[in-house]
Amino acid sequence: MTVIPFDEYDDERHIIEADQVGGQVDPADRKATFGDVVSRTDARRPIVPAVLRNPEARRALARWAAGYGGHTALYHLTRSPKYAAKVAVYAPRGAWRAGSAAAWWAVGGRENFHLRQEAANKNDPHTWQALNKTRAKESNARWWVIVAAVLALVVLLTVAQLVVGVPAVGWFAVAVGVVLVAARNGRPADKPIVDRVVTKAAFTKLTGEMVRKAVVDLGIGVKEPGQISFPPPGIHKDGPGWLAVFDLPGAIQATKVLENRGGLAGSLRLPVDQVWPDVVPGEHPGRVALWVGYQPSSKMGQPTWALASPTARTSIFEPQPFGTDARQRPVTTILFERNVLIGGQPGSGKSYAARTLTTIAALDPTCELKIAEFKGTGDFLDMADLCSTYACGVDDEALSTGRDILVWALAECERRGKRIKKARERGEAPLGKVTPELAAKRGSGLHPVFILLDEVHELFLAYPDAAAAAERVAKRGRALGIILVLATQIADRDSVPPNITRCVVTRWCLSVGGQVENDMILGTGAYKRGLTGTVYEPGVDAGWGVVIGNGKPGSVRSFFPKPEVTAAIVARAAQLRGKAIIGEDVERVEARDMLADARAVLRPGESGAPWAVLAERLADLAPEFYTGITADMVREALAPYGVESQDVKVGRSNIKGARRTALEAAQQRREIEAE
Amino acid sequence: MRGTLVATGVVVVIALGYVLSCIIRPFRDCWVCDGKAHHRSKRNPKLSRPCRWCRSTGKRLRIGRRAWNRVRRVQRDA
Ligand SMILES: [Zn+2]
Repeated sequence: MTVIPFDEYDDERHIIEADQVGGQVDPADRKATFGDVVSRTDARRPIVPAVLRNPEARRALARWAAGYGGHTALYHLTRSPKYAAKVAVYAPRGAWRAGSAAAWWAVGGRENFHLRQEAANKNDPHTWQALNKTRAKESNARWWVIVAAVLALVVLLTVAQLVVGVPAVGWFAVAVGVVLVAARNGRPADKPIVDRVVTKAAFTKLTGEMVRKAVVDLGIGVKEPGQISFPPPGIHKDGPGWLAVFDLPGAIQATKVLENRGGLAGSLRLPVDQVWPDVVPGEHPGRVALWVGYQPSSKMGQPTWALASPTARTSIFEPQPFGTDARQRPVTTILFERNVLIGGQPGSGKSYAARTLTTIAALDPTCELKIAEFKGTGDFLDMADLCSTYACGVDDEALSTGRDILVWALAECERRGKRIKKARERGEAPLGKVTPELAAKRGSGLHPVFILLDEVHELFLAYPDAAAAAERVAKRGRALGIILVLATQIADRDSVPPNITRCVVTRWCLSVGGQVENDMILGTGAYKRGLTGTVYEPGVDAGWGVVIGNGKPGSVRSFFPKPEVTAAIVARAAQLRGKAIIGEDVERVEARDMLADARAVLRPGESGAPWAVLAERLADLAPEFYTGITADMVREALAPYGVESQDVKVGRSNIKGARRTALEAAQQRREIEAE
Repeated sequence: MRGTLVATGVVVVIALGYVLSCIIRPFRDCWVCDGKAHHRSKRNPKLSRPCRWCRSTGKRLRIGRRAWNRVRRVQRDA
């Protein structure tokens, strides 16, 4: 409570008793009763520090200690001759210093000596005598102390030698110790005997002073370092780094600090990816949790993946780890009801990021896998045996398989919608979506389906209507247990239409070239909010990316197990599935040409048709392909052919649609291009 | 030859001893009043007059120290 000094000239402080306006604002202080005390539930601080409770953190600490210790030992060992030479010089000097200090002390001190010399210089016998008197008195007793100490030492050494029987090694150790102490005493103040082990051990510890200075430097309204307070337990080790939880003064919010992470890192003189400010969930908005790693996160190793365990088994309905955050804590996701877009330039670790998600699905033995990769390098070849449909390549066959997967998924959505409706009527799907029980139920036809399309822009460029199909799958499949994961290296308007980006909630932006690409994947304004994959370098920071739409936005590094671990995971998945493939391969559907279909559904005499009418007629024409298509989708699917959205006369009003002339012109253009 | 060496050694030791005494015991008893700072009357032992030689301190700086002080003063003033 702030105490406002009472000012008798301040009229506002007068209390008018008669009116009783307002009255006392603060409640009266009340003494705590016994009941209050025994029912207190104040947060108790853990007995074992956080860093020792987490096995990963414990291992990281041990690893670091071993590495550091080993390096230090080796470093000093190689320099031991140099140290020996230094000791040889410093030890006699140190012994001399110690001896003379004792002697000076015994004769009454340097101070007194110099004062007496001064008196002698001035020919002042009175002062000299007075000084000498005090000196003599002290000196007498001190000589006795020296004599006693020397005697005690001699007795001790004799006893040690004759009674206890210290071996030669012991005497040697004592001698070494004495020499080292002497050397330590004899070295110049600014010249340590041992060299510094770490040249740029610039960061050893995060101190309150550093944090205070950094926050003041930010210029967010904190004027004095003292305004920042650290609630218990103060700054402490947390994982491979330091955690400082502090309160900003007044009404300044933690987001102010989060917005200016670069400034904070600059003031701390650390790389940006070593400094991780955060809000504290469940606390007041002025509280900041600042985590500062021992190293920049891009230079740190990675803890082992829980899914690499030989007994791993997942469920797509439960949180499963797919990566780690900057603080080396696992980041989890629930795959059910999730569609994911993964974007990043070549070398950003995109395929591996997709693979971590695929692994979660693969280790759920109820989950069907359909993988199509259009890079053609066989990144998922080892998982082919687990998949009901697998395609690899950039040839027509692979691409048409990719499109068939989407067509199948759309039809599956249709079938599942009906099944869910029935299940709901039976009371098995109260929310109108797949439940874990339904998914696991044999023959329910509602098992989870995981669809991965890697380098999906190849598919969308080859089949413009595939993009619309993907959009529909993403929208409809969510509640029906169909998970769509799209990975792409270029997410521009043509390769991955913005509509898809919009209906995929979870996006993982790995290393990208610039703000435009970044915002294509993460959404407009992401770059400005500091959510950016541009900080990562391809290759070096492979697997690092910004994830949004999966809890709090933040940096995540995908797990990247060694090849043998990867093989073991695939073997485990195969074991869980009992070598059986979940689900059926897709029917190879005859490719449909939407431009031709659109022309076909125009009735004779019509000069054109509104988009909605076209969508309806297309669905009637080929239900297995066009079911669920909307007016917007038709418009977008035809746009790449150059069919513009124009006014079409329906009765008396004009509605936007496709004109026959535009469709014909598009057809002609295509024929010319084909030749 | 040997005698000279011994003699030189003795001289050096004495000189060092004198220098040391000039440092750690720069004052010695006044030889005029015998360190008593007063001259006592021979006729009446109760009467006494201050010793002017030691300015009634009973102490005198050693010759060596006195010389050394002068040298230093001259050096400093120069
Ligand atoms: Zn005298």
